[in-house]
Amino acid sequence: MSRLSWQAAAPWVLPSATLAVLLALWQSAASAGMLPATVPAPTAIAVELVTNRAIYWYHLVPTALTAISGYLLAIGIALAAALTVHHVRSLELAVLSLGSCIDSIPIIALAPVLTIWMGVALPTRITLAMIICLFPLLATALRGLHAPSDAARALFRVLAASSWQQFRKLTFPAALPYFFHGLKIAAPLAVLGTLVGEWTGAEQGLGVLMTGAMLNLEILQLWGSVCVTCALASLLYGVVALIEYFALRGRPAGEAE
Amino acid sequence: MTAAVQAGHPPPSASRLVLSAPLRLLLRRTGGLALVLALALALLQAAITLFAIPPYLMPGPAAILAALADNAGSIAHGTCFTILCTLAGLAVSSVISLAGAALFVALAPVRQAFMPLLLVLRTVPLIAVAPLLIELLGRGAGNSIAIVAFLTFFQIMLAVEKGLRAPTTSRLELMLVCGAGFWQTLWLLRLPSALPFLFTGLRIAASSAILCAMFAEFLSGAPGLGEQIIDAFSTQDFARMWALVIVGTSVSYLFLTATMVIEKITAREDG
Repeated sequence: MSRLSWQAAAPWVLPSATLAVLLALWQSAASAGMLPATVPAPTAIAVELVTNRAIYWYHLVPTALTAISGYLLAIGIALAAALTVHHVRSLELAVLSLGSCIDSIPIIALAPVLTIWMGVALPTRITLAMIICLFPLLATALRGLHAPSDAARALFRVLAASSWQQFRKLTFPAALPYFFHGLKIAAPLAVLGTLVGEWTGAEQGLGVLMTGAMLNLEILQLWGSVCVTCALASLLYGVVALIEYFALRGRPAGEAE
Repeated sequence: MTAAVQAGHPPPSASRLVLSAPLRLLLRRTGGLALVLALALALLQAAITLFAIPPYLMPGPAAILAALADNAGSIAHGTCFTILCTLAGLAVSSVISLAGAALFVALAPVRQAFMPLLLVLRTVPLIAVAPLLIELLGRGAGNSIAIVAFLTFFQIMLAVEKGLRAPTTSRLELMLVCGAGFWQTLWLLRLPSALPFLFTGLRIAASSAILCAMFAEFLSGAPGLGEQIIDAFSTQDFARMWALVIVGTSVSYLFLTATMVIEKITAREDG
């Protein structure tokens, strides 16, 4: 019994222990003065995060809201486009080519362009977050909609299912794992898009805090803002993964990869 | 007369038109890019004449192409810088990934300890860490290479690790029966089977790799495409900025296409 529980716990224990050991090594190297001035001790970063939590919270809220708005907008547009292309197959190559080209525009080039058109404002940053999410979502959604086999489609046709029935009972459930795959790819990207928008110009946000700290050589604040940003991205990913877990419960694992 | 057809050979007229799959992919993607660019420029010209858009909002195709010609030298230089940094970064990243993945295969506990951490780190948008890396690594070409290497490492590492573990049990047992040691198995069986996976990893990392290089330049001021875009933006030289945007987009699209073609070639040789 105890052996069984050890085996169940091993995938968690070993990486956590590794992480703890790495952090301890880092801490001792820092307190021994072996690290350059740009690498503070982990405890110093933790203390910084706790003492200045008001600052981090102040900058976290707009970044999170912008990223989530862009993300939701991208989901809406990608699903609408995917459904349209799914019904009008002749559009597929055009939409995918266009999407692939738009996806190739370096976001670093897009940020100044959008700033010229839309100004240093919230819509600019939401648009950036939306555009960076769009293609992964569209590509995975399309693959999902194409997922049902020809045999399954033929069966639905033979059984005289309406197209709505076919969508609800066959296409949508089959596409769901692919949707979630795309949603998981896109969630951290939304944070990245927002961050780039804030780097190009904003008054408030984690990107502003980060570049400000970089230019003023405020090492602790730089590490702190990077930690908060990574935590935000991982949190979004985690939420989507959790929703996926509940939505796809009871299905055989590894359907979409 | 119909002997060749009956024997299952395609008629000669059809075989003349058959291109290999990688070449078709290359032609299709380059053609798509040219088409989209041409369409975009044509639409732009139409919009400018229709709505009388002032040049400070959006310069016309003629102005953009003129800026491209005027700055051809510096743009070509910046493009080469960015591409070379990206390639060097990807090479460093591949070598470290192969070494790390081999270590994972050799020592299972190491794999168990580090693999979950790698999987978690992969979900973080690592470009967000770039300001920190610039503080750590300084500015310049070495820094760009290091950032590209660091940011693409996780994708490539995971792909290579999967590749090294791809050989089936029966193949591994055959190596064992033939008396092959760990290194021989690695060299003769695991590495060849990992190569297609490496190229898949490179393909996944490719588009973000160019982006990473541009980010590094944007933040550090190293003389590449990313830095030039920001420079043109801040000096309000919008025609040059658009020329750079077009070049940057094409470069990143073609870079991705190149890795897709290589991936297809290696996958075909494998199968």
